[in-house]
Amino acid sequence: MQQNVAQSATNYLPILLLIICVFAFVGAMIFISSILGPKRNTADKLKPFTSGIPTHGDAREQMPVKFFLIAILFVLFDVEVVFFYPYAVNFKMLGWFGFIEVLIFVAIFLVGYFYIIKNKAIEWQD
Amino acid sequence: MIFYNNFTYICSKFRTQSMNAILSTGIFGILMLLVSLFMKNKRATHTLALLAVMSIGIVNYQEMYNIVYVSFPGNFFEFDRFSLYFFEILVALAFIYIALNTKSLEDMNAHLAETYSLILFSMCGLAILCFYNNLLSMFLGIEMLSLPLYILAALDKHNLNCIEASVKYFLLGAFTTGFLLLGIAFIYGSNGSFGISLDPMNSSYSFLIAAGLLLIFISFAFKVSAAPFHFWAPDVYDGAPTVITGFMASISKMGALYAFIKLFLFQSKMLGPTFPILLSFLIIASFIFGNITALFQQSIKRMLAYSSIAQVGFMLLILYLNPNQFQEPLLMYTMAYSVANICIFAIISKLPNYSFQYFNGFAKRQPFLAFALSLSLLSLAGIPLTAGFMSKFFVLKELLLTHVNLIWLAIVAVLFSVISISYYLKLIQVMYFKSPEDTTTFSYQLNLSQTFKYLLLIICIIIIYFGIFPFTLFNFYYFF
Repeated sequence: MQQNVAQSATNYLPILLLIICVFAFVGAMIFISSILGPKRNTADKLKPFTSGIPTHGDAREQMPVKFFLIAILFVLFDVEVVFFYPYAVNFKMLGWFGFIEVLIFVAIFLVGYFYIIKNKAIEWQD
Repeated sequence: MIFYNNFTYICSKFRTQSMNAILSTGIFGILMLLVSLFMKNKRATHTLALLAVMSIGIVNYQEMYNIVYVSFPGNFFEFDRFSLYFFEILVALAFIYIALNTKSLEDMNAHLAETYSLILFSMCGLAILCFYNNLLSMFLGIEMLSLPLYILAALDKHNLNCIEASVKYFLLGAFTTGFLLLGIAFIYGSNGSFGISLDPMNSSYSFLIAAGLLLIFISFAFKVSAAPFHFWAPDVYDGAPTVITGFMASISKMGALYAFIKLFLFQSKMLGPTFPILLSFLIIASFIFGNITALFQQSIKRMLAYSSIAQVGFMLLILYLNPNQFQEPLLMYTMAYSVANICIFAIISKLPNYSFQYFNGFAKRQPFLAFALSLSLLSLAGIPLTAGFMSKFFVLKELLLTHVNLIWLAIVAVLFSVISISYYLKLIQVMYFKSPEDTTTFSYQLNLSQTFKYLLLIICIIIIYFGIFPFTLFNFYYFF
């Protein structure tokens, strides 16, 4: 038991080393290029770049709440699909028990889906 | 095939578990969501919510006698007798709460059935917190309790204070959830399991267990609003709709407190001799911040928020007790504190404003409401012949029976509850002995149904009954 625990902690050492290496490499690259790189600043170069379109206005604009709603609902149902992966991996082991569990899980989500359809949450026109 | 056998082996290793209470709360919550689509009749919705809570109570009661509908393998939950009984009391309190507040919930916003379903979802969290046997299920319970509360705090969505309260609650709550998760991760890292029976002999990283427990301690102290972590409580209690404050301050708080006690009563040894010192710091800070600040409040709701911080200090004394003697004080405190708070907030939610001026001469305008309010306040203050006295008595009795050397803490607790009497009595004095300054306050007619008054009468009877015969509360737990 004790050895298992000790091993499980030391197993992560390569990851820690990798993290340190990544940060050191990225930091060094940015630092070196900022020292060695040539600098010729013009007015156009100093402008903020957004896909080639001239920027205007403030970022804090009001926008329709529907975008937000759609985004939230997308995340919800997207996460639902993620939960199927572990089920798919353990499909045989879980058998009928797992199947019924997943059916219940989907049923709960269907209730939610039914609820948002009925409340017209994803209708774009008012 | 070999996988399947493996699975049945895993199943056979664990006791099967019935999850009557947890499942039924969840199912009724979902049902209420569906009901909101089809049923526009508000009266029927109220009846359905009450029926739902009642059937949760019945199903949970049946589980105490091993009548089980669905059972699952696993060791996520532990259904011992005390947890079942404690949850039964919480359900009973929720029933009283909903029955009292039907009108206020209806007036507050248009989505009545959704409100009920959110309350039921957070009760599902309470059920998980009552029965958890695993750090993962504990985390699940805490999140399921708090997430609906964040939404409920913002129910009155056109009121700016309300939104501010909800956002504050959500941000701070999410922050402490981070603490909780980090703590759980530390414990998992050192123990290699999510079980709550932590054994330092088994692990070479016992300092990680201590660090993890400390982080979990902080997040729980936040959830029950104990003092150095109490800053959210007054703002949230003040900003949230009064009906919802009543739920947060009574039922959900006691559920979180039970989860707190359940973990730390058994596992506090991991924190070594520092734990009693840490705990006494938390308790005395709660007393000082809660009581002293409550003295200077102008709004009744803020005053009650600070008083609830002070009460938490008293409840945390239970953490000093032995695992076989914490039941009586906890049951009594839950009953007395929640009933009084439910009553006070139900009355206040009917009133147009919460300043002390409004209560000038309140006893002449509404004699019965003033009586029920005074009785609940006296119960919170701990005056004899009320349930509140008995709750404080049992806590101090058990504390002194276990630790005679903690008598200084008991003295501090009593002294601070003397201070607390002054602000509770201030409201009573205003209601009975002051005459209203202007007559404009009379113009607002309170819309009270007859049922509301009868329910208040029942609450008054409960408060006095448990003040005289406290053992009826334990008799059921011990003998039936």
